[in-house]
Amino acid sequence: MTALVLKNVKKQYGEVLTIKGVDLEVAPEEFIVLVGPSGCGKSTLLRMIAGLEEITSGDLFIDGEQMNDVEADSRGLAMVFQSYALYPHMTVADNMGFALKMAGIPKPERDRKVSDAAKILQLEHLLDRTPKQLSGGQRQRVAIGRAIVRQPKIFLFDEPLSNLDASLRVQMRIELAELHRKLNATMIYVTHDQVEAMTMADRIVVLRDGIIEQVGTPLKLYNKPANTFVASFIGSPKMNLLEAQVEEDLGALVKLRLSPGSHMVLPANPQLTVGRKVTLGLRPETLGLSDSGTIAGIIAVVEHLGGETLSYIDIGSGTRLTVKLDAMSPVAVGDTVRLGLAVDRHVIFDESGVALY
Amino acid sequence: MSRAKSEKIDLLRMILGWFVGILMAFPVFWMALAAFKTEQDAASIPPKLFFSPTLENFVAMNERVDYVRHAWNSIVVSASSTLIAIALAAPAAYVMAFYATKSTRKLMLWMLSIRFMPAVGVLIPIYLILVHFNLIDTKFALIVITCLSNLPIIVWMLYSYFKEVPVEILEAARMDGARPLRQLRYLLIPLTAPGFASTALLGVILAWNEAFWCINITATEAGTLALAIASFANSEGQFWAKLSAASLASVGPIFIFGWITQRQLVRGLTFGAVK
Amino acid sequence: MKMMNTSTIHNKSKSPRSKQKIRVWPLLLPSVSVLAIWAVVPLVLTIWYSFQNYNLQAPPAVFGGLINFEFLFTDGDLPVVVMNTLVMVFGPMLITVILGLAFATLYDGPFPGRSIARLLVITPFFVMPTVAALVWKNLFFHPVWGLLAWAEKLVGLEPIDWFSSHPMLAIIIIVSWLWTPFSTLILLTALQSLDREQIEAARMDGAKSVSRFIYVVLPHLRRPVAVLLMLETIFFLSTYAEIYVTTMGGPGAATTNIPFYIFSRALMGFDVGLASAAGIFAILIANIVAFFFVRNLSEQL
Repeated sequence: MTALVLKNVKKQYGEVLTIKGVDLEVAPEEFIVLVGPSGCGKSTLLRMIAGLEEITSGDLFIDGEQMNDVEADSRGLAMVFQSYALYPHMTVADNMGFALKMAGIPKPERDRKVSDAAKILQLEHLLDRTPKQLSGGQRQRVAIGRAIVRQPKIFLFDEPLSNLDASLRVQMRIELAELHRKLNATMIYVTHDQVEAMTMADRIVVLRDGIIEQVGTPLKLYNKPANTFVASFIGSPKMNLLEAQVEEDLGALVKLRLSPGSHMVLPANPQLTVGRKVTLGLRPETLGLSDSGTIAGIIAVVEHLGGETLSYIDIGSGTRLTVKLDAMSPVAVGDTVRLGLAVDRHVIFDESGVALY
Repeated sequence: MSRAKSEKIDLLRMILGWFVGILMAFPVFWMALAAFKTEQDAASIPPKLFFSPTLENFVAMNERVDYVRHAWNSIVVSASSTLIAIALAAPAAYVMAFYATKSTRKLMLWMLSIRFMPAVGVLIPIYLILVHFNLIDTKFALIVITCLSNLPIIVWMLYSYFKEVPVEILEAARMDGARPLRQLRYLLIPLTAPGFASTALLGVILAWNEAFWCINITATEAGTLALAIASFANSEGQFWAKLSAASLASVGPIFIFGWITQRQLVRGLTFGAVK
Repeated sequence: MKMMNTSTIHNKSKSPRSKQKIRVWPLLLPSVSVLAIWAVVPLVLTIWYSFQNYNLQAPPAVFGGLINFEFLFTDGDLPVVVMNTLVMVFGPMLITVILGLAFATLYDGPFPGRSIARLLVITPFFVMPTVAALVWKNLFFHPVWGLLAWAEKLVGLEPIDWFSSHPMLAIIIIVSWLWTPFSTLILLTALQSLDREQIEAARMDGAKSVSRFIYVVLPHLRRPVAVLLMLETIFFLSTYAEIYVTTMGGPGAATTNIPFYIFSRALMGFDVGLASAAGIFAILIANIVAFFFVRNLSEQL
């Protein structure tokens, strides 16, 4: 039995179709991340699932039941808002117990559930404080606690980490992942940050302009992106996308011209006919310095991160490659270098950006 | 800017700031002082700063102008017109804040434009209507008219306080299983209670100081303090100690209200155009 | 740099949100219907009466066509009345805005006891217009007992009977005193919402204090000053109580403005028709100003 099903869901605001037909199945206890650039519709989709937005057409099923016309307050879902949306005039304990109060659960039981949730999130010492007296991280925990207490069918998260500072964000990521394991709950999580998606998701849903570009596990999306959009969205630093033209058919291999001074020789593919213009995708860690490398370029910028070094290399025709180098590499701006494939991984996209496998 | 220069500016600021404040408040201060003088002291030249205070004016003014009755009328009219206005305004403000549409926006603008209608333009018909229904010099008429005059501002104030409640909080409440009525009870009212209080205070202040309608449609029965003071207008000379006492007693309560709600007053009177 | 925003818009979501379904009309109806009656009925009646020849001392009303308007526009007093009205609007306006700006700048920076001093400055606003007028009339302007008379004598001048020789000026002073706090509050609030970073950037750009004031502060105040001017126009157009308790519009018609004119013709002269015609006139003027103000406001809703 699936936890959630979206069938051809569309959303229209006046003249504009913002969600253009989304199909998705979520299995129980799965951690699904909806990711994409601003305006792609991920938050809208989440809110439609929550019941805070109306579904223009298509179906929503939760636990097998159709939920299109069910009010938000009766769907059995819990949502953690980006701004936490805590009730400012209530204590932490009251905030967390509010939903139970609405459900008519008597006080002793309410208090018990609230303290159980507080224990999981280490909030016990804050139960009598009001939101004003809490730090950002603590408020966020209360927002999560409010959701946990209800033992909902599905947890919904709307960019919950974006208001936290960087180090807190890393810590919360780990805690959320552990929480997921501990509760064995189904979670649908929205973010624009692909790092959060990669680290927390069982499966990632990449959205753009109201349609799903690709669904898959993080590594699948990383290694086998369906198109150039997914390829450049997932992974940091971004995948290098080079314009290339098939120059020569060498039997088992094929030669691709990248720029007047650079070319690449890769395994042949029936779709790579001579003269065809394609896009070659190479992740920064797959390239390396090599005296016998077939790519020639000049180093434009070097970034020393301590654990590794990023270099940006111009290879002509206005193309610049990002290459991840070992921290000890003796490179300097202005050096002429030769690059070759360090790791045997690449993706080729056709003229319209779709991957050719 | 050098330290010395900035200190000089601060000093200048303090001196001027206090000077201006005292200057502006001086007439009120002088009036308050006169309230406790005998008529002789009040009229003396050169003006006396030091004198032996007396409370005789406060006693006498009641005879002259029936202060108690007028004060009571002021209280009743201000309080009732404000309460009724809030009762009418709150549901409308709620709708305009949380269910806003193009039509509700137009409605709000229309309400505000009514506020700008000069009372004097409708004085005659209102007066004649009141005469016709025998409502001249009744508290009822004054309450209704004051209520209607202030209604647009009260709707606006409540609307602006409602809008300050972040929508997400109400959505969170929705997700927590609260229907609209419960959202109102557990969230909206507690969160906007201060707003309601300020709005009520503003309404009371506006009603209390209202003089135009009061002078024209009330007399001895329903006259408020504004009318009582106005009746001093044509007296000759020997009454200013009593006038001052009556004035102090009339404006005193409002000072307290006004001082508490400065910021809200700006918002209400400028329709939020200046925050 | 941060963008200045004195509007009341907040919570700008990217797209409209779905709301729970409730019936809105029953909630709107009470206030809307009541205001509609209040707005429409008297207005219609005023228009009706303006076309009637109706004197309360000699009823009944007889249809008079445009006679009232004729009378109104040929009334010798009318030009004076209109002029007085304008003076009573722009006089205090000038004073309150200039003083308000000065005071607001003064109170914009911290100094010991600032909140109390500010409260003192605000005080006049809460005084009833009738009280204010009488206090000024008797305690200051009075030629025998007033403080000003005493001060003038000290300097060796003849004490002036303000309300005989300078009635308009006296009224302007009273109105200005009453409303300067309002102007100060508004401009002070506006000044305090000015982003300090803009001023600092101007300093870095080499602007001296006067230029900073002209090029950074004043433009920021444009909107609040516009709001202030419009509001004051509306309120000053209906100056009434102050005149009633001091000059009763005199001497002659020297301090009669439109509201007082209507009052004297209608409730003292009992000429309902004429007063209604004048009332229409007043409403028209007020509506024109209101139109501009409301349009300005609608941008912010």
